[in-house]
Amino acid sequence: MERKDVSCDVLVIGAGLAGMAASLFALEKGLVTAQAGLPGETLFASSVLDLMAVTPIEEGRLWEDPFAAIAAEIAQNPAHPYAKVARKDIEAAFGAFTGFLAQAGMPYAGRDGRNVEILTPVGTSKRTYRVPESMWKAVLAMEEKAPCLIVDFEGLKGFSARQIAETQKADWPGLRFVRLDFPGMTGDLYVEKMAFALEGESVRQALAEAVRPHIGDAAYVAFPAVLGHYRPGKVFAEMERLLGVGIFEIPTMPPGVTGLRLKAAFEEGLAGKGLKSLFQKLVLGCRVEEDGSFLFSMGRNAEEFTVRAKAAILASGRFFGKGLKAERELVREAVFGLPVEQPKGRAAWHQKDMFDQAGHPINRAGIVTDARLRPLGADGLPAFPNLYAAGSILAGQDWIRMKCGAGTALATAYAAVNDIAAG
Amino acid sequence: MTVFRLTLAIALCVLVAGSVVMAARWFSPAGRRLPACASAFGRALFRGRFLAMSRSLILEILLQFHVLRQSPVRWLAHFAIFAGFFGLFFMHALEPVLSRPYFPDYEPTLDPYQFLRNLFGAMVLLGAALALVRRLAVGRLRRISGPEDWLALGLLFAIILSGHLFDAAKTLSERSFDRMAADYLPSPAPEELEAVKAFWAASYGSVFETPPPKDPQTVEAGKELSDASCAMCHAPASSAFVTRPMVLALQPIAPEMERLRADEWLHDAHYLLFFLFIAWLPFSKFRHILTAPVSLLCRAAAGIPGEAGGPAAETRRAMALDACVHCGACSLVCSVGPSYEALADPAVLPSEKLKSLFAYWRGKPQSVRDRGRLAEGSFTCTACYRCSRICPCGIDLQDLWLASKRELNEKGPKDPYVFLRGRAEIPPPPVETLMRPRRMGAAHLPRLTGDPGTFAPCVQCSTCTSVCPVTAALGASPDDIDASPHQIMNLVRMGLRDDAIATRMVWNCVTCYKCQEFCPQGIKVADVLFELRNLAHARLRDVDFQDLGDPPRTDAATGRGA
Repeated sequence: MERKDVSCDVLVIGAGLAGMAASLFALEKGLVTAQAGLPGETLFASSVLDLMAVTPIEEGRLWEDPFAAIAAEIAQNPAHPYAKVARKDIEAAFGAFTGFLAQAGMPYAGRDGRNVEILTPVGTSKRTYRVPESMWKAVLAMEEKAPCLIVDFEGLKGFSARQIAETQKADWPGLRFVRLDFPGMTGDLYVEKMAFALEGESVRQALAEAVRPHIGDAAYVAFPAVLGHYRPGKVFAEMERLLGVGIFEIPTMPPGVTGLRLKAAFEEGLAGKGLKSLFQKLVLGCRVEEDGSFLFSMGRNAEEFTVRAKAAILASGRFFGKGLKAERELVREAVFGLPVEQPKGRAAWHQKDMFDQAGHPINRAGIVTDARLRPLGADGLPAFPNLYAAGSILAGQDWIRMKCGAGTALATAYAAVNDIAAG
Repeated sequence: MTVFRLTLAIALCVLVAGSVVMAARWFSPAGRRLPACASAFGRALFRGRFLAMSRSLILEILLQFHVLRQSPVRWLAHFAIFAGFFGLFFMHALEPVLSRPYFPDYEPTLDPYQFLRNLFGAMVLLGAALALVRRLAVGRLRRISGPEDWLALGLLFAIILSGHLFDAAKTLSERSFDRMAADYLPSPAPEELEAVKAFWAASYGSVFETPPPKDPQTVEAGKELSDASCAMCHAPASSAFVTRPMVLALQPIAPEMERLRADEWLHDAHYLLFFLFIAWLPFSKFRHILTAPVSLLCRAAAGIPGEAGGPAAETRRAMALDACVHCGACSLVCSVGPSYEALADPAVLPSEKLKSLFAYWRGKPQSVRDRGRLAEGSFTCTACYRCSRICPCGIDLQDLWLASKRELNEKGPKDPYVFLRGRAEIPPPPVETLMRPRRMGAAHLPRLTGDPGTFAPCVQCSTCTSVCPVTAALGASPDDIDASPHQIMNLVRMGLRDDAIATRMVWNCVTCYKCQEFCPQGIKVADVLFELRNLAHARLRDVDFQDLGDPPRTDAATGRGA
């Protein structure tokens, strides 16, 4: 096989939200950027961008102002990664990130400094910070408690319009539901195929025909998030025009089209900005050169090529992303073998109650860094002067329960890139 | 000379007869195919394909830019042979009918013609050497290269080398010198002849039995005489940059060559080798000189993919079988190339499958084993279209495979899934086959599907199914998807490998690798599907198809062959 050794200013390790954000920010700073990892996990993203909504999680206290929530969390838990990023940098990170996605055909909406509320596929509501424009009317409809029709499809698993309406019934009596056959498909439905089919005009028209008799007094019609894959903006606008009422999408169970859209936007948009993409390749080993730069050995199973990088950002995620590896008694960091802050022994990993509102100690395990987001070695000093960590691999946060996953990823990636660029 | 004329006449007859037989094969039955082809051609012109055909003529047929885009080395090798060979053909071989009548000052030993002949010769030698090195250096190419490939290269070398050696031998020869001197130096004084010999020995390298003097005065005197009598037909030796080094190298054995009359038999050998080339042309890969342009023009006229069926498509298929140069480009890009490594079955590779198909369609006797291999290769193909796209001769290979699969499914051996379905109990290969890994390849070893680590991270998230274009294409008829990719992964994880092999999905996979690329857990989904197919093929080799309800074979061969 042809061997192509790569040389760059920064290698981003990981291809989830934090890794993609780090690559974007680095490219925008003019750094020569390479990125390795499996981007498949982006498929699990709902595409809504959380900042901070719940703290303390033991009490389940919801916040409208995410920055106030961040201040409250840091006051109580100074180990949270947000403690290392200034508010203006968090805002700048969101601005740059959503700006990039808007250019890639995925515009976002939200209210500055305020969280908004949307519906989830199981009918609960969720606070978040920025939502794709295709979900913005969900925010408005929910605030108005406007009469709505929720559509679902025979054969689509994990999305029940009836369940959503039943769950919200007490607060939102104007929710109605209908189950339809998806035009031209039978048997098990897969969201990617539905989204692809809806890029075709005849399928959109057939769907609109099927929905129209059920609209009645509804001010909005809600669909599972299948309205287009490559050109979601066009599909969305066309459906709205055909139905004559406002529409919005509700995220589906992961993996979903929302994640596919993000993945496509990243892969195309970042390539357009000059990213040296090494997707599907993993870091197999690493050594430090005399001038302090890294020489990474890259490949799938055996070394296929090397990457020489002046700096690296570790955005390899947690257990599902394989940045952290759980052994019987110990959690290890997979790429560099960095020390992982963790509960002592497996018995201390979890609470007795699986659904304990306080979350499990293992959820807060991760990599500890200095104020500049450089992982610490066993001696408490930065393990490498030019290695940074970003995203969910960082210790001190429980992103699922705090609703701070996207924000942590964007903010820490932004701060790490700034530090590298300041060099 | 009459012998040569006779040989040439025979060679030309063979060339014409061979070409006519070949063309007849393309268009027979003529009643059906000829009108269809004529109307297809007319339609192409009518629909404005004329521009595309002109473009193909200049860019593809003459300049071969499509090869340059694929591989500069291959282009250099082929273009050097092509340009050099045709340069020699028109200027040198057709000298009596082209060069002499149309270039009044033409003389083979004058510049620029002498220089050009050497240049063209050098181009062919360089191109052939590059081709040789490439065939030896690229592993898969070396393995599929057969006697015909080596013979063809050898013949090219032999024709060009014999020509230059003849030229060198003539320059060295005293007898040649004497003959020329008798014609162009009328009654010279002995010291004048000595002087000319001295000059020719010094500047052209001719060798004389009694060495002429080497002193500068004599040589200078010889130069003056030579300028007066020889220079009008003899350019300086330096422009013969291929022949010149040969002359210098052969000087030590020149007397021996003279005694054996090497110039004469090298002359004969050069002619006869070229006549051999002419006669062999329609029966060897050299026929691509005739067929590749036709095939490329057809592609330009019909577009790709061309018409799926009908007599015109049949003609194109027949033509395709003759247009192949066995360059191996398709086999180097084949998406199921790894199956060739695993199954050790050359018929997996397009260039080899074409040969097998050639035998099958031309009704040549094939052993049961060869037929089995053709089927194995045919059904391993995923119709990914890479071979059609790369073929420098414009052959729509994929169309051939689709046609041959249809035919095999009618006449057998059929698609393996047809046998395997509902017959999960196919015996594993007997031990003695396991002991012969070279024949079996590595296909009988469940490397991925036997390793629990392959599937451990699978969370059945169904991403692989969601992105699969095959399940999307077949979505309207659920019968065609008996199992989706994530379900196959689960079957294998549960140890139900045989059930997985017997699903239609395994055989419908087009190896686009989307599943593998999108899998959030990095599971080698497509590689697993691949391995299941290879396992099935390896096992089917040791199964009696008749027991499985395969229609009785018409082949004369008996038994399964080793």
